[in-house]
Amino acid sequence: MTDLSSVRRELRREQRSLRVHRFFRNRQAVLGACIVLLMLVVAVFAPLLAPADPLAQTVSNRFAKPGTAGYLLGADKLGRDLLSRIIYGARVSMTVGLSVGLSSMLIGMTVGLYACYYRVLDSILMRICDGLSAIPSTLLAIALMAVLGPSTFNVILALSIVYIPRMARISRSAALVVKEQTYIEALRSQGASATRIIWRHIAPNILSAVVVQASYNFANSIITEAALSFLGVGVPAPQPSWGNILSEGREVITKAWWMVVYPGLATAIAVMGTNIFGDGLRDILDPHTN
Amino acid sequence: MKKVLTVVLAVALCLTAFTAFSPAAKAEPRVLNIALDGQPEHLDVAMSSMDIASEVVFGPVYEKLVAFNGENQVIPELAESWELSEGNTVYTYHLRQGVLFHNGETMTADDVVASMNRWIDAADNANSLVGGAHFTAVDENTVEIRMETGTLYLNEMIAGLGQQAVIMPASVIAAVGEGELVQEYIGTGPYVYNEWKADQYIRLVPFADYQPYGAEGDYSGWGGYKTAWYDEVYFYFPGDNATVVSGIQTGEFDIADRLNGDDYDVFADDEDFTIFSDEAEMPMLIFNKAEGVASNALVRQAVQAVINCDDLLYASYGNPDLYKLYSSYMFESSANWYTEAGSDRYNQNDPEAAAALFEEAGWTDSDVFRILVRTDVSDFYAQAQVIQEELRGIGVNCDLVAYDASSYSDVRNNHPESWDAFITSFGPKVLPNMNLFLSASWAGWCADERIQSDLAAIASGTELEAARQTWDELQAYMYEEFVPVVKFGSTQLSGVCSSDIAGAFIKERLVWVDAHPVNG
Amino acid sequence: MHKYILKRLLSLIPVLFVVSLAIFLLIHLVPGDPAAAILGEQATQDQIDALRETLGLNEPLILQYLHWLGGLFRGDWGTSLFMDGTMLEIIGSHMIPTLQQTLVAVSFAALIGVPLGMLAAIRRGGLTDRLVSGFSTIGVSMPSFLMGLGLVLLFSVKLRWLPSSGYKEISSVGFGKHFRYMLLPGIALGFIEMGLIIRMTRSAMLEILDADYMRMAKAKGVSRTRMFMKHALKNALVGILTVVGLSFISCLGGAAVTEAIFNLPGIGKLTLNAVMRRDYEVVQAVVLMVSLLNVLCTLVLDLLYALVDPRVRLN
Repeated sequence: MTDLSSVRRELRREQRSLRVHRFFRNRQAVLGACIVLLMLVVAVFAPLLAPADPLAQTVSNRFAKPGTAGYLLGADKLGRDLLSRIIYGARVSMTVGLSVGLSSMLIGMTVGLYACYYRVLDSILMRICDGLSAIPSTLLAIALMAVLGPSTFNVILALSIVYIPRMARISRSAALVVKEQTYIEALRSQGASATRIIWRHIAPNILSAVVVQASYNFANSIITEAALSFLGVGVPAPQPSWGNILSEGREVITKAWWMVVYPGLATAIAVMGTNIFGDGLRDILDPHTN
Repeated sequence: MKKVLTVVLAVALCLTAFTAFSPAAKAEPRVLNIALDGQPEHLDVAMSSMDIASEVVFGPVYEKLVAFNGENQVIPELAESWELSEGNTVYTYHLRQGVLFHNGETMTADDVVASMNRWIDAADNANSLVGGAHFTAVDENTVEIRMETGTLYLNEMIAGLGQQAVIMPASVIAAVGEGELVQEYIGTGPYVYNEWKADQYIRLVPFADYQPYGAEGDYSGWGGYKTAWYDEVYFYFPGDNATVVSGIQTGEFDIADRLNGDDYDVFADDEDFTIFSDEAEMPMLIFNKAEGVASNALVRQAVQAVINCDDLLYASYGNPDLYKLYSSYMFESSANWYTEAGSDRYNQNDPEAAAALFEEAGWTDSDVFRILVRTDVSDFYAQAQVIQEELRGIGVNCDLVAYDASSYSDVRNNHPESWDAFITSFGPKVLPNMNLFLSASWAGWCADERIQSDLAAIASGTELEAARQTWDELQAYMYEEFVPVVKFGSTQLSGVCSSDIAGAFIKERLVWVDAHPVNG
Repeated sequence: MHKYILKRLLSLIPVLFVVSLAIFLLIHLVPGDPAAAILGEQATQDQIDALRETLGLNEPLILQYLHWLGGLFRGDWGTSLFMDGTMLEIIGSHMIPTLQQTLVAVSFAALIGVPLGMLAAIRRGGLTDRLVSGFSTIGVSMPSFLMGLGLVLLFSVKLRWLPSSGYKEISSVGFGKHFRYMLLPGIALGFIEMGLIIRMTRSAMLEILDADYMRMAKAKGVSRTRMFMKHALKNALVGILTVVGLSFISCLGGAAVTEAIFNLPGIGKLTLNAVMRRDYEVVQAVVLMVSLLNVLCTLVLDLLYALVDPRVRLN
């Protein structure tokens, strides 16, 4: 038994180093990882990086042009520094992205795993998931935000609800494949507990599919948060989020282009980075799906 | 030679005459395109006070017993004349005869009674002014209202209240239940409500049987000789400033009813366009006097002390020409009630005094001042953020509690425990009592004994001078002690139209369309 | 086949039931009510309460839900508190701009995406391939509201070529002018789908190029172009068709955001407005309708797939 497990461990290590190797050979994936990492750094160290307090107003400098002293990227309607607001906006995006990615992964996976194991639960849970995913995600998110009221936490809650059904579906179908395998049957006949089988034996085997999906949820929730804030139902002012800066910018697009261009670029780069990173992850974890 | 010339001339004349009478010459219908600042929820303007709905129908489609002219004087409209009894308790109106509704019915006393009573039931201000009394028909063409206590201001209320006292057929009112919206928009005005393409436009067309009142050309304010100048009037809801600006520039819209402060400069010096403005809004912070931290008058005084009104208005309008800084709770234009009493407490911008007041009020770091904001009105949202920063500057915690419009009303009316102040704005009022922010029953709950008894005295007073004196002292008391609200200033509303159009103007928040082609 | 269709149709019933329950509960849990929107900001709570009563909003939720469901079974989709006409008329008239926009979006995505994807597949590994792939990555990373804002900034604000928002009916202004209004929203909505279509076309083409019969054709000396047009494209068509179909569905759902930016009176805008002013039955009907369309489109796509490609088994 010890022998076997050491061999298995060795095998895993080798596989891991192969994956790492493959990852670094994929230049796009490395680029994506760098962007995601950069955003995380910006988000964590925002107070050190931002040249000014993102909330401090100097009303007389309303809509100062980019390059005005103290306003590298210009000022907004209340004379706040746009650069600092974009830097702090990264915090909102990263918080939402990570939280939604993680929570939808944990809950979706749990739902999927139990659905695959218990038939009755399966039919109920999957009907609910089908129903929720039949509603277009933007509309569902808008309706949820109307119920919950605008706040960062509620955005996380609403987006998790939107992304959980698909995650549950994916984990369920991956888990069904694993469940069919003979060693699971064997474990069952030996009387292993359901919890043990689900979490010790099935869960690790579906992890790669789940992680890949979670990385897409991460990217999508950044987009959707920005869209919700843009529509005025997401993160409320004065807290800066890229979406609500863009929404303010939309109103003054004819006279303050910087209010649209810079937060727009930040959003585009962030989404692109997370998408490329997700593709890279899929290539190394789940090469067959492509 | 002469002969030839004569022939040519004759032919030319004939041709001119021919083209002048040929149908081709008048083929193009005259169309007026108006960009509205939003889509109304409905057009039943008697049920609720909504500026954009009133802009569409009040004046063009609906008319009232009496109206204001350009000098704010009450002039007859559907009532030909009226009488006041001794003590001002009975108003009798003699109706104009032979007035037709758009559905072909002739207007009678029954229609007027039904419309006016529905209005009294729906409009709190009117209801309290008449003390719950109702109109009755005296004969086919005469109506009256008998009140317990007299009032001088019923005509002003009818002409000026935002919840419009418009006259519609009794049959339209009878078709729906009490408190429900009417299903048909039928009035007596020069235009007929024709079509509402949801989320796109509302269309009006001329009323063929309209009989103008008074002498031709004698038009002023909302009353007088009205003409349907256009074959079609469209009200569009373009939704954002950029579209309105480019639409006006390209001629797609002839009139825009609201010009954003930031777009003012675009048209200000361009002679192809005319900007029309009116001082029409009074944005203010309204405290929750019923419960929470703001129920303490010292806290309210402290907030009043810290506010810098100039910054606040500059932040949302971006152009000092578009607002005025003065303290009176009644507009400068309301000659009877304008007063500078208590003005030394206005626009203090004094952080130290504010901090001292907060300290005196026993403010601690765990206390939070919560401003309720609605996410769809960006001006108020910006102003709330400026106040938040000013409070943060003196170490006072301030949260913005944001909701969409519908939840906002719910929270404001039903959950006073979850907010301490909110921002809204009011238009000009003919009487101090009509200011909702002084009402004891409206959000903010101004249930102060002195304020309410003084207001009652003003409403029932028969001597204008005494009433004015009472109001003067009351405003000083409110600035110095009670502080029900913090007034920021008064702001202009501006609209813009192409210079080919005359007669569009903005007054008391409404654009009334007597607009007509310059050489029409 | 018939049995399969019947089975699939029956399986829609529980899905739609969940949708109806979810959206009903959601929208009725929202604080605030239509009475407040009808009466305006300066109304008192007494007036609002009275109107709530007349509108029947004080009935127990379960009764309101059953009323609604009952109506649905009789073919009655409900009525709007704010708009005239039956619900189907309202939805129908708002569906037109959405469909027009979606049509522009999908045509744009397919017209640009399919050729580029094929080009990348033919030039596999080369510079063109990498450029196209990079472009498609930008495409899939460009949310419609960003693309929309960018297009407005460039084409409306800077160049003044196209209107920044608004909608004109074909019947009143003719196709040319109508199209000027639909172009920017269509591109904004279709851009992300274009990225997806490039990717899918490329991989579908590659798969077929690698297939045995293609190698055989090559060995037999069939010309390159002919080979492409006749064999590869025909076989790749199934995959491409699916992606185009899927992008049609996702455009329908995603139009809410572009409609808000470009102020188009479409389904998304209708929903957003209805949510904002708590026009309950409109929200319920629209969401149910859109979800129904969504699942039906997916079903039709599956069936088409099965018809075109005999390798797909129905089970």
